[in-house]
Amino acid sequence: MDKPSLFKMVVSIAAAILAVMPLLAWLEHDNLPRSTFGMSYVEVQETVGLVNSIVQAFLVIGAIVVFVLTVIEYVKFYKIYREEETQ
Amino acid sequence: MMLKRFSPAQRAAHFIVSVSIFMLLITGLPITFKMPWVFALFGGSNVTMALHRLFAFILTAGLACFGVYFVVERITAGKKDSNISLSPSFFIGLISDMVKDIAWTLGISKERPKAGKYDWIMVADIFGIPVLCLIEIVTGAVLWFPSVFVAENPALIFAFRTIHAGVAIFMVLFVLAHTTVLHLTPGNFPMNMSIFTGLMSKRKAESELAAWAEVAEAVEGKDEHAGFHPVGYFAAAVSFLTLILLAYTVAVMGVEGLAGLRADGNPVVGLAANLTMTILVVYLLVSVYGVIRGIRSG
Repeated sequence: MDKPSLFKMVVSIAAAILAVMPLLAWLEHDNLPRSTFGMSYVEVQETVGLVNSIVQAFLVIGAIVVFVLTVIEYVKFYKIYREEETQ
Repeated sequence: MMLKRFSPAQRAAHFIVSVSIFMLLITGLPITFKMPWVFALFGGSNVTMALHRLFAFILTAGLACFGVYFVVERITAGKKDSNISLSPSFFIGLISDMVKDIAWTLGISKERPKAGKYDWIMVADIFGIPVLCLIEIVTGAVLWFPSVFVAENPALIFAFRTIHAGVAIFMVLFVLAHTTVLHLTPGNFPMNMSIFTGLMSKRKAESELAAWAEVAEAVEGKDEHAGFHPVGYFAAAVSFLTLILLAYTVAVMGVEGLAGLRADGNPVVGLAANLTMTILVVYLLVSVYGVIRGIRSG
């Protein structure tokens, strides 16, 4: 293994360890009791409702865009294939 | 003649990230779509969630590891045959290519743009997937550790849960689109092996990625010309049907306050959920098969 490869591997593995370290550290945290959630339901009802509506709107638009683009790309590959076959 | 398309690191990154995403979707979507049989299959909800978190770890580590690897490689080894850059002109060029490409597909224009190593839609994938994964990792961490992130107002996790589930559903749409275009199209069906072997036939590259074919490194190899089997049309039809059903599903999902987006008791939604789950399991198995074939082919 050449030096640059070793350098890249060491740096990237260090980055991976750094990325998961917070998750490992947080495993030590105590979970909040269920009753705490109940106490704050009313406060966040409006915020959560708004987030739900926004996410749903994005999803509907996203689904339509993804479907249309997939159809277009499928047709493109079909045309390329036909061109290759006729050559 | 074959062209060197993907490095071993790129192939490894694709495999680790895609398998993690498949497993995260398989173990996570049953919550949103209420599919108790999936939990039962894994041996209960506790085991399913443990697996979900294990693959969240793998995805987080994989993204960080390969993300940094590719950045360092770009800095130390340069651009090589890649066309990707962060300059505004590159992104303006992509938009122009997108318009020209779609115009050619629709028969409006007679000339197709000569794509570089990554065409406009691949660049969208390369930049889009890490962003979607990052949203999932952050929102997932909030759901996993509410005492760290939302201790002041714990019920806010319901908002994060909706974002987490919503992006997950969008990722399913992405997986279906990505696989339909790259594997189920004529010339690629039943399996585009480029991402597994790292090679692409020169003939195929010249018609699909003409600008890259001129600068790519060539190697000896057998060009396995993929004809097209009628089963390919059936597979693509199933994929398109699932996309339509999922689009319907997200449109009819009810907003049930703190319960988030819900769509149960609807047979069409049930069909969409079960089709999606089946396809994800098939793709997971096919990915493993592809990697084994890729390694065997050297």
